[in-house]
Amino acid sequence: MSEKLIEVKELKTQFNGKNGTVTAVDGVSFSVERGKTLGIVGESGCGKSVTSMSILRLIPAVSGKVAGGEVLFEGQDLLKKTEKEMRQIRGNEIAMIFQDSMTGLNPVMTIGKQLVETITAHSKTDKKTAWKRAEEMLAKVGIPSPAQRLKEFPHQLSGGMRQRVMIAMALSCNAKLLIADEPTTALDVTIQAQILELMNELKKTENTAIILITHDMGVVAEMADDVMVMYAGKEVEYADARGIFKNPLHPYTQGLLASIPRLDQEDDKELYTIKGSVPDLDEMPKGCRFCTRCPEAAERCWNEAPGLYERDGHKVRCFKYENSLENGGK
Amino acid sequence: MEQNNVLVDIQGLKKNFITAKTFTGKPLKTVHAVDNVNLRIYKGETLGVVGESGCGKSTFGRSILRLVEPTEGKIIYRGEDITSYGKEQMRQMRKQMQLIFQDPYASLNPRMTVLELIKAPLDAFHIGSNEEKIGRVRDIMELVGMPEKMMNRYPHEFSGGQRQRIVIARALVLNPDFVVCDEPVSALDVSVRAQVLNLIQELKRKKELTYLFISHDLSVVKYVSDRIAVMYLGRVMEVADKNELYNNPLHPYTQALLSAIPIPDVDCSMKRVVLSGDVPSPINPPSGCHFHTRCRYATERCRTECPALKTIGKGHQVACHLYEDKGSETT
Repeated sequence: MSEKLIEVKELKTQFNGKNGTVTAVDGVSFSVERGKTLGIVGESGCGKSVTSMSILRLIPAVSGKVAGGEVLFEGQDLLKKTEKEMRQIRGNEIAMIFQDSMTGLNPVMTIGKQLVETITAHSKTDKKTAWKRAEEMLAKVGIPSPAQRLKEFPHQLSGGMRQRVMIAMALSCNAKLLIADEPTTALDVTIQAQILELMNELKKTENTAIILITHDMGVVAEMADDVMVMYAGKEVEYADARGIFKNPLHPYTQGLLASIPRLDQEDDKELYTIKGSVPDLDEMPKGCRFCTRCPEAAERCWNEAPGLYERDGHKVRCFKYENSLENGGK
Repeated sequence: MEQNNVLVDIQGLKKNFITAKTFTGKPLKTVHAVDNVNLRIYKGETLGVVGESGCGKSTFGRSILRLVEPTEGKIIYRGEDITSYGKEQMRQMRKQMQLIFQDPYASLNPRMTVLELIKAPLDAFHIGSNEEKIGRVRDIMELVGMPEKMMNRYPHEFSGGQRQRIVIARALVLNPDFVVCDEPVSALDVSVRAQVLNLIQELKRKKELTYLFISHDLSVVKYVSDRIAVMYLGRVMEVADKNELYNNPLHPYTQALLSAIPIPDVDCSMKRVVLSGDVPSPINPPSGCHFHTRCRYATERCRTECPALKTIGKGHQVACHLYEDKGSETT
């Protein structure tokens, strides 16, 4: 059990909405081991990004707060840390890469300066060694002529290159956990392939744990060891990648997988569709949050929220499995 | 026989954008967005165009409708060269050719109601009395699956998928024959994307449309298209029937593109061709074959000589020196 690098328990994040608070993440639990990748999938607004921001305590205090739960990183609760302690953890222990690499980098500082700044802020090194280390890092993430690139500004690099720099920055402090929030969504497929390969390599060589947040089922299938499917702020299914793709239990996961056009299949039949769209957070149905769109919704689903049922590590939040699986959560 | 079935025949289409001029007004930097494209679109088919960002696929779609003026080349629509048309003549043509835009948030005027938005094309061409117009709007709304009671609402009250239905309704209200779909589902979530894709397919059958479907997503293009053209830096690299293209990709770029797409399945162990480097700038594209800087098979010849699009097998065209001996040049 000590293998778990990070364990999130019953995380709850709320935002101040126009009509009172809305709960963007509602009691989500998961854990990641060293050298493993957890994929968090879901559509926009399901709370997957908010989850990652909550772990690093990056939710702006004016707009919302983490209202409950625990985030145990190497056994210590990050939610109880002071802001000063958190600063040591961000970057040093847990690094994050964002979807848009241009906003993640300072446009008026050279790549080298930014890397050196990160390195010196987190370890006691002089500028010269830090610069050397920055050069090594760029070489490691596969940027050609790194010495030259260090002197350039972010706008002089392409999107794929910038994302590599972001990864280099995350690595320069030997972070144990890498949170990647849609790291390849803004990139072309051929560049995406390069970045995914790089991340997989790092997972192997550095034994880094990765939380990969994406809406792309293809990327998840390729990268993740475990997968958590989120819908409207709750995890609806949580299992290893094989379980999710080969034996999806929740109607939402099943629908999601069936509604993707696939390259490797004949496509003369119509695509499966999940009818309707995600309800607003302040108009959530009382019972199961998916009931408005679920083809199998029964009377009970509208009035009562299902718990998380579990068997052999495969968790699913649906009444269908109430009897066949044992109750694992609340 | 074949000639009769061609709806749009694109011949030697080029579009250059001049991004910098010298003091005397001579072009200093030119972006070759579309570079000598020859394609035929047959009646009733969906021709998919795929490529990475900056490959010129959107410019290509727009220049067919002359929304951007082509620099060179001809567009023959139903046997008539529309590049020679005057402004009013072209305006009338647009009744037959329409465009569905990518971003349903940017392409709808926030101060117009759904009725006004969909009615706008009818107003522009003075078609029918006001009652007739409203009747047609009602019909088209039903066709795209929007309840009639939504008619007096504003775009901000709708989700992305619903907005895209409005955009589609507006494009189809004039009963066009030919519709250019420019990334119509890229801004939508997976579950909603499937709804819109199915709608696009259904409308094609019901209204006997011909589509040019532009997207960066090969799996989406394969789902909707009959034939697919792969573009790279303004040029067409390969054209083939969708299943042929998927099962037997010939161009090294197509092979890499196909293998780069992650398949949502854990047992899928496709051999991946990872391309090194980035797409070069279209301002100074590489000489010869545009792809040679990233190609595994590049030879000296690829650096100097641009390969022509040649027909290899039935309806399968490829622009690559590797297949030199196997095909005959097309015009």
